[in-house]
Amino acid sequence: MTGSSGAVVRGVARALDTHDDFANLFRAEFPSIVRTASLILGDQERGSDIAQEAFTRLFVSWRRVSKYDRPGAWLRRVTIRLAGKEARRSSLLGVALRKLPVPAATPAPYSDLHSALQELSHAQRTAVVLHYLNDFPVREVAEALGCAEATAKVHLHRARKRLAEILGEEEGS
Amino acid sequence: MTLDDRLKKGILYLATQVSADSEAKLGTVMHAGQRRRVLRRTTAALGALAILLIALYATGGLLNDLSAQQVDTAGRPNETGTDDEPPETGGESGSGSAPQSSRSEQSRGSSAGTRSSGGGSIPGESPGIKNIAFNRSMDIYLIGADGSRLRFLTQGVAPSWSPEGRRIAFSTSSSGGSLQLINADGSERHGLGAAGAFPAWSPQGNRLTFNWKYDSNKVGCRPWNESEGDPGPECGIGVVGTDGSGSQWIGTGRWPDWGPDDRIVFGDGMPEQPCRYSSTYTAALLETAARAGPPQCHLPLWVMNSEGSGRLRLPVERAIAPTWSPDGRKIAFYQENGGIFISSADGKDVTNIAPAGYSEPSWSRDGRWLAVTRETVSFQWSIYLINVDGSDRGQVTSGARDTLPAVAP
Repeated sequence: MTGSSGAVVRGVARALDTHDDFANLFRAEFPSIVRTASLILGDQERGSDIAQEAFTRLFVSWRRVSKYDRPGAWLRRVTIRLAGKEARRSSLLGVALRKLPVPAATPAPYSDLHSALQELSHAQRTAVVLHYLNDFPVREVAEALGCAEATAKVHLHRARKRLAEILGEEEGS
Repeated sequence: MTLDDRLKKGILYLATQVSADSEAKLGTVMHAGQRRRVLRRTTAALGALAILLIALYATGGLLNDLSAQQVDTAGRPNETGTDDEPPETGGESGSGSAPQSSRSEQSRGSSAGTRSSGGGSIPGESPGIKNIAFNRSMDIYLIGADGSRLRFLTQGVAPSWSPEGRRIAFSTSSSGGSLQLINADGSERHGLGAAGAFPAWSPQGNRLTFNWKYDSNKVGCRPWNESEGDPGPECGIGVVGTDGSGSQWIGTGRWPDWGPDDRIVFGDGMPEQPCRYSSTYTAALLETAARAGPPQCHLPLWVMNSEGSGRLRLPVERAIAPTWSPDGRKIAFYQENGGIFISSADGKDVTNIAPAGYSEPSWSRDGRWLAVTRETVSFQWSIYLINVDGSDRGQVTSGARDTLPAVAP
């Protein structure tokens, strides 16, 4: 073990000792944050990057954020903001979305849904993912998006309508 | 399987295809966090050192020292008179003394009954309402209180009736959200040249108050996102003449409503602390606020004069979209996950008249009814009428995207 890597291990060990709550939150939330970011971006690799960046920011601010009622809510907002920035950056740079892997055995409806999600705007897709994956009510979707509740309603309505069209479903069903 | 079920199951399935090994990443993240902390502290220390050097240089300290040394070599006494202040120990101001939230309990006196006609008419008695304007998606429609005479009025958002009931103010859902007027018969639509949303009329009918346009110089402003159909900016409160003259910003807040005694009631748009119930707090603001202490979640109501003076905080919290009763003696508002409440004009005697799911109240002219938005099923909203004591409720519209009702006077 080199001196520098040893220092890293000791540093992480100290951090683990003194940040049990952070470690617990990480273990509880990281998979969900990665999945949320990946579905929003349509890209697992970038979703994982965004999740790690969000947790890094949380770690830096942990002493204060840990006093919040719901540090996880703070984390989710940061994740969504970072994902939004990443989506805009990718759009500006013309980066082609690398789609989430869809196994061959995937049932057709879910394959259709996977494609349909990519047809939504970033805000619509974020709203849908937050609601259906994270069970966020409209108010919390709005809060996470940083928009008015009425706006979140519009995002969800349009997303739902668009998905219904693509999937050939009745919107009111 | 319903669409909601299909979306839920499908998205959950897609999420399971994402590999997310938390244990493998925890050390990476914490190491990166530690590195960033060290970098931040090093940067801060270097910055402090630079400031100290600049300060010393500016006061001539370095030059004096240098010149004194040079003089020393000439054999004269070295009276440096140096500042030997002890080094700063880096005490952090504000840490550990964050204010505690002191939410007041809402009175839930007469909990609403749950009778519902559900069929486009009010049970028991006629509410005496001629028309209700409302949003169906991004269009404004008119409808009778019994659910008849549905007709399209115009494209726009958040209709508000003039006191005499002949005109409707609203904002566009695109092109920057400019305030508009239109006659109730659909004629003479025109803009006021003022950017903003959610207008409400003055009692005299010659001015409007509204959510002020986006201003990047104002803290807490949320920009307009017209490509996504954003219904309005949240950047304080403005007033403007109905002829478009005299537009001015009169203070922070949002959802203003103009009362009969020339007072404006409004919600708390830009509080000092972040609140997880508010839609205005972006992640960036939360990050900034994270350095200030734990969040509070008051979101009180306020009243002020139409010139913006005499701001008075009312003792209600988490209040959204307040609106005066026609006689100015009561205020209706709603809470997220709390439903609709009515308080006295001073914010006391709060009564919950409708449960969660009901929102966006608008008073009838006689003050006995409220037109409200109700989320009937997930993501579907219809307009309802409810009695102010919560005893009667009836469905007015059967659409799925009907929101922001406004009762004609």
